[in-house]
Formats: sequence, C-alpha cells, structure tokens
Amino acid sequence: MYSGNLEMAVRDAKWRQLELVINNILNSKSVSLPNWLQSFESIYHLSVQEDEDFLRKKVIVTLERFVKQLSKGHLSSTSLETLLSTYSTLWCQYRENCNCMRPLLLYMDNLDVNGKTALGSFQKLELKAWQTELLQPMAADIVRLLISKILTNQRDEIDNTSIQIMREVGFSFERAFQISGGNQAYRENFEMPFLEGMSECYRKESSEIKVEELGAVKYVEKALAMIQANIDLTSRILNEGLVEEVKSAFVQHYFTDKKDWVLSECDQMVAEERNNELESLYKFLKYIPNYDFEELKSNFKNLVEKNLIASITNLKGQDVHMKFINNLLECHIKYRNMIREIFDDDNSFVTVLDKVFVRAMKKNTMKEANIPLTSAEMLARYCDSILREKDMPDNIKVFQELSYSFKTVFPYIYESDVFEKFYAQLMSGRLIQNSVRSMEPEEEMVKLLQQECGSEYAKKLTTMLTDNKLSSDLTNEFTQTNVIGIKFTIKVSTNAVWPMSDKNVLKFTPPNVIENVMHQFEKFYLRKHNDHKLTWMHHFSPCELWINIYEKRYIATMNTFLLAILLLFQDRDQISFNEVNTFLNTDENTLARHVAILVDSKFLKSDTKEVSAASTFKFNAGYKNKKTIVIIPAASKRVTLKENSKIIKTVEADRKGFLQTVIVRVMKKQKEMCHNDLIAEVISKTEGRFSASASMIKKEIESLIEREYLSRKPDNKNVYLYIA
Amino acid sequence: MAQAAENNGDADFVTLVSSEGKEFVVDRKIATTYSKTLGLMLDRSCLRFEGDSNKIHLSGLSSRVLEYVCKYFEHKRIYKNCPSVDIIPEFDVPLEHALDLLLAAHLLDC
Repeated sequence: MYSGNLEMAVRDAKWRQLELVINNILNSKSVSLPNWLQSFESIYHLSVQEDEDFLRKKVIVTLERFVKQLSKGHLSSTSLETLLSTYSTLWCQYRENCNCMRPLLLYMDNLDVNGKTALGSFQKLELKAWQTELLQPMAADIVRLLISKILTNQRDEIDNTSIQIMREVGFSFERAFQISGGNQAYRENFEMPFLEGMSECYRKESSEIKVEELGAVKYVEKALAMIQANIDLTSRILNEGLVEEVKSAFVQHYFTDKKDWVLSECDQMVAEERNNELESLYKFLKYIPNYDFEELKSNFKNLVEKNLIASITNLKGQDVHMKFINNLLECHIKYRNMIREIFDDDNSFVTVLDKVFVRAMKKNTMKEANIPLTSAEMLARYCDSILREKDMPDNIKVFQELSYSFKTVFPYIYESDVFEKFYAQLMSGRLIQNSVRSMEPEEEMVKLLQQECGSEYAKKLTTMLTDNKLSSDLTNEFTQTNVIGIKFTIKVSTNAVWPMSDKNVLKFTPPNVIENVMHQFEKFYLRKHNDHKLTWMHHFSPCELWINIYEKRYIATMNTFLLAILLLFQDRDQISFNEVNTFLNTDENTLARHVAILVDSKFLKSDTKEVSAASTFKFNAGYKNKKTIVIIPAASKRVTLKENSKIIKTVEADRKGFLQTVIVRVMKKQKEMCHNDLIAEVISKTEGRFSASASMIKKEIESLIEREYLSRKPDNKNVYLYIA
Repeated sequence: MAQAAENNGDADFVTLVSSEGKEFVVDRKIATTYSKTLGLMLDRSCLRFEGDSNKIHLSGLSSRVLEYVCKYFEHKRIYKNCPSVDIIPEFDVPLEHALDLLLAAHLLDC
C-alpha cells in the first residue's frame, strides 16, 4: 500500500513537472534549460515505468484544455470582422509553439513501442486537439467569412495581409483535418462547404449583371478579366485542386450559363471579320467545358466557302491556271492566319478549312464556278509555268515558293492520279523542247513528288531526267566524233517511261540531209547498245530552217515532216499533191493535214480551197512576216484538246489496273470477304487518288473472276474467295 | 575524463552530470549524433532557453555507467569510418554494469 502510494506520488510529481513545461511552451513562455532537460527524464520515467496510456491520456487532456481555453477566451470575444485575423494569429502561434515542443513529442514517440501503430503518433495529437476543440465547432462560420473575404478582395483591392490571413486559415483546415481524419474529413468539412458557398455567391452575382445593357462584346471582355483575377487570387490562397474547382464554379455561372446569349451575335462577328472581338470570343468559349465551338466553326466555314468560291469563279484566259492557283493560295493564307491569330491555331478549325477547300476542288463545284479545267490539271500547269519561267534569277527561291504552293494545294486536289499524268506529260514537253530553266528545281520537284505520290511514280520522272542528261552526253559524243554537216542534237527516251507512244509515228521518207544523219547516228548508237531498238519520233523533232530567199531572212521552226515538204521546193516552185507523195511516200490523210498547216502558215499557196489529192502547191514568193523567227506548230488547237481527252482515257485505264491490284492485295490478305466489305475496303484504299464507284469496282471484280484470281463462294454468291 | 565544467553557452562541449554529481565533458557533436535523446534535448532550432545549455543532469545514471557511455561515444568516433566490421575491436563491458548500461542506453537511445 505504502509503496503503491509512493509510486503514484512519484508519478504525479513527474507528470506535474512535464505538464508545467508543456503549458509554458503552449503559452509562449520561455522554459529554463534544467526544466527542459528534466522533462526528458520525466518522459522516460512515465513511458517506461507506467502503463502506456497514462502519458498519452495526460498529454491529450493538456492539449485539449489549452485549445478549449483559446476558443472560449479569445475567439468568442472578437467580433465577426476580426474573427478571421484573430484566428489566423492564434493558429500561427499555436503551430509555432507545437514546433518547439517537437523534441518532447518525438521522444515520446521513440519510446512508445505500441502506440505508433495503433493510436497514432504523439505528434499528431496537437493537431487533433486543435481540430476537435476549436476548428470543428467554428468551421461553418470561418468558411463563410473566408468566402466573403475572397469575394471582397476580388471586387475591390487586393490586400496583402488579408491574403496572408486567408492562406493561413485555409492551411489550418488542411493540416488539422487531414492529420486527424484524412482527406475525406478535410473534404467534407472544408472543401465542400467552401465550394458550395462560393458557387452560390457566383450564381447570385452573375445573375445580377445586366447583360443586355452591357452587350455581348463588353460582357465577354468583363468575364475574361474577372476570371483571370479570380484565378490569380485563389491560387495565392488555396491549394491547386481547390483553385480548379472554384474556377469551374465560376465558369459555370459566368460563362456556360451565358453562352447562348453571347453567341447570338456570333454570325455577324464572323461575317464581318471583326477579328479582335472574335479573338476575345474564342478565349471566352474556350473556358466552357465539353464545348467544341460548333456555331463559330459553322460560321467560319460559311465565310471561307463564300470567299473561296468567289475568288475562283469565272476565271478565264491563257493563264487561268496561274490565276486559279494564286487566288487559292491567297485565300488559304488569309484564313489559315486567321485561325492562327484568332482561334489559337486550333486544329479542329484547320480541319474545317481543309474540308471547305477539298469540296471546292471537286469536279461539280468547279463546273458550277465555270472553271474550264480540273483542279489537278490546274496545278500541273501551274508547276509547268513556274518551271519554264526564265526571268527569275534565284533557283532555290523558285523551288521553295513552288514547294510551298504545291504542298498547300496538293492535299486538296481531287483525283491526284490525273495530276500525276499531266505533270509527267508537261515535264516531258519541257524536256523535249528544252524549255527547262534549270535542272535543280526539276530534280527537287521530283523529290517532293516522291513524298506525295510514291516512289514508283517518282522513279518514272527520275528516269526521264536521267534520259535527258544522257541524251546531251550522247549528242556531244556523236557530234564530236562524226562529220554531220548540220547542227544536230539528239534525245533518246526510254520507252514506256515517257508519256509518248511509238504507235502513231509518222511514216514517210525523210529528206536526204536528215536521212544521212539518221543512219550515222543509228550506227553510232547501236554500237554502244546493240540490243536497243530505236524509233524516230519525227512529229516531236523540231527543225530550224533558215530561209534566205526573201529580203529578210526568216528562221522557221517546224517538225521533220513539214521540213520534208518544204525542202521539195528547193529546186522547184510548184508541185502537185501526188508528186509530193511520190517523194515522201506516206498516206494521203497525213500528208493533206500537214500541207494544210503549211498553207495556213502562208509559206505555201494552194490552188484549191481545201487541200486534197488534186491540189497543186506553189511556194509563196510574197511571204512577209513582222517576226524573224517563225514557229509552225505541228498541231492545231483542236488537237490539243483531243490530247487532253487522251490523257483522261489513259488515266481511266490506269485506274482499272490500280483497282485490280488493290482488290487482289486485299483478298490475298483476307482470303475471304463479302461483297460489301470488299467494296468498302477498296474505296478506303483509293481515297486520296481518285473516287472509285461501287460499280467500277464490281466490274473489276468480275474481270478478276474471269481471269481466275478470285472466285465466288459456292453456297453464298455474295462472298468472294482468293485463289492462290 | 572528468574535468572542470564550462559555463558558457554555445560551446563545443557539453557536460553530462551523473547522479553523484560527477561531470563528464563530451564533444557536443558526438553526443548529439550518437545519442538520439541528447540530440532532442539539445535541439536548438525551436526553443527559447533561459540560462546556458551546456550542462545536462542525468540523475538516473551513476558515474560508473556514465563513464562507460562516454567511452562508448569515443569508441564509436574512432571507428566510425571503418570500411568493414571485422577490424573493429569489441567494446568490453563488465557484466556487473551490463544491466545498468542497458537501461542507460534505453534512456539515451544510443
């Protein structure tokens, strides 16, 4: 009994000593060193030599008593106005003091073997006391005051001390609730009521703004300024997650709810291209969640479409292709910049722009706009003109500009395979006529086309360029090693690569002069490549004839056939049709056509109106022409248009082959496919190149079935099987 | 090891006083590093002290025991940078003091 009492007395004494030290610290009073050090011994004694809960319970009681006294004392006597600042000061002081107590509590934790796992560390006790005794009862009031303080600060001046106070208040909630109750308690007791309060205030305030008086434009500006201020303020006070949620509440009431009204003026803003207002409007709409700018986009689409169609309608003239492409580029640049500057380079707007351009390039739209050529042909001719242009000095710049134009326009072209055909045709024309201004841009263009159109196509073009280069080497070698008598250049082109066929070659007897050179060259060439076969394309070969008969010397360029006819007049003035044919030995229609050209050019005179087998021709002694250099074209305009339609026919033939390749490739992979799926797959594979119709594909499927690449499934006629 | 105590604040040494009044002067850094409790007691980052912070009365420890504690600090300091454990000689503790030393170790957490 006695010893029991003695032990209790010792225990109580030790506790009293410790309690004194703790209370002194809490009350911001200083502690003497011996007392401080002694408290460690007391702690040791109490934790080790008594039962575990004694110390813990005593500490909890002490903390709670202190905090309760705070709340009853200071806080209840302050008015609401100063409540927040008083609270903040008390909180800061409490935090600081608890920090000073840390070594003691840490020591308690170190000695406390069981408690750490079950009851939580001693260090948390201080915050727990704060939460239960002080914060919890006053939470609602404090939150309310916090909200109103934030709103006042938003409306009026920002007060730095207020911000400090508000931040401390928020922080106290965070620490106190999280330590004791975890995130859930924090959210329930602080974040939710806070958000609800803020949201309610926003709702009320936003509904009080007289939006109609203000007007959409001014309201947008005001809202943008307000939300920025809001974010600035709250991010100085609250944690990140909460700032986001407050922003959402603000957006809900000030932005989303007013969206439809703000958009009422949208159509006009876009149509009149009021760029500044649109920029603000876009920024405004960007805050609204789950909104993809439908109204704005559709207005933009209409604007672009209207202006684009207007700029390409009714274009005519020799250089219609230049005007067309240039107008297209201008329009594109203008609206792409608009997207970049006003719509924050938003990709979905770029998609809208692209769609408008693609639609504009389609055959129907072009027809309606009275455009004579297809978009593919326009682009090909544009490239051709630029690559022929001899005035510009800077090769690299030429290519860069062309490359930009091409890369911009090409994706919109309807039926890219038509473009490929025209480009190859025009390029071969340039090479043959020596109208290429420089090889560099040509080669760079081929590289570019390789990226866009595939390496198979680019290989063809590269071969053409190589042939061209080899030809000039051949010419040099031949003329240096042989005596020819006339100025001669040769171009040898690989068959099937160049877009000319050797089927429609003119058959006739060339003049002696020409024939000699032909034989010499053939010997020379076949010695080098004895397995090659040469076909002479006289209709492409320009000959320069110097006519010295007249007062003025004329230099006439024409193809070999025409030359053959004219040379017959070297020793006679007059020849009949049949005589001409004896010399030339060709078919009558071709001869008639060509003589007609010479008559049109005024070098020859015919005694009949229409050239026929019964006509006789005289050399025109009175020929006069202002120009010295005369070009006699090999074909009339009618023929050029026929050539165009020939190209279209080749394109169609190519497409059939392409479709068959695609079908076979798809079936090889799938082995078995039903009709509709196959059609869909093939359409998707030909999408960029040209638009394949279901009936076209069906025809090719039938042809493949005939050639036994595919077969129909015996029990289901709609399914196709691949035959390996 | 028992020397005259120093009475000024912020010295590099602390004085550990045993229950019998004997004073042991130890390097402050060593004491606070190797005894967690002493480290907490002498934690200067948060407290306002009256008087100097150099003397610590450990009334629970006898001089004998305290002497061994100081020896232990010294032992640790000498061999603290040793690469392998095998080279370190054993720290001998006579049996009769072992229990007291154990309690002291618990108190001082070292």
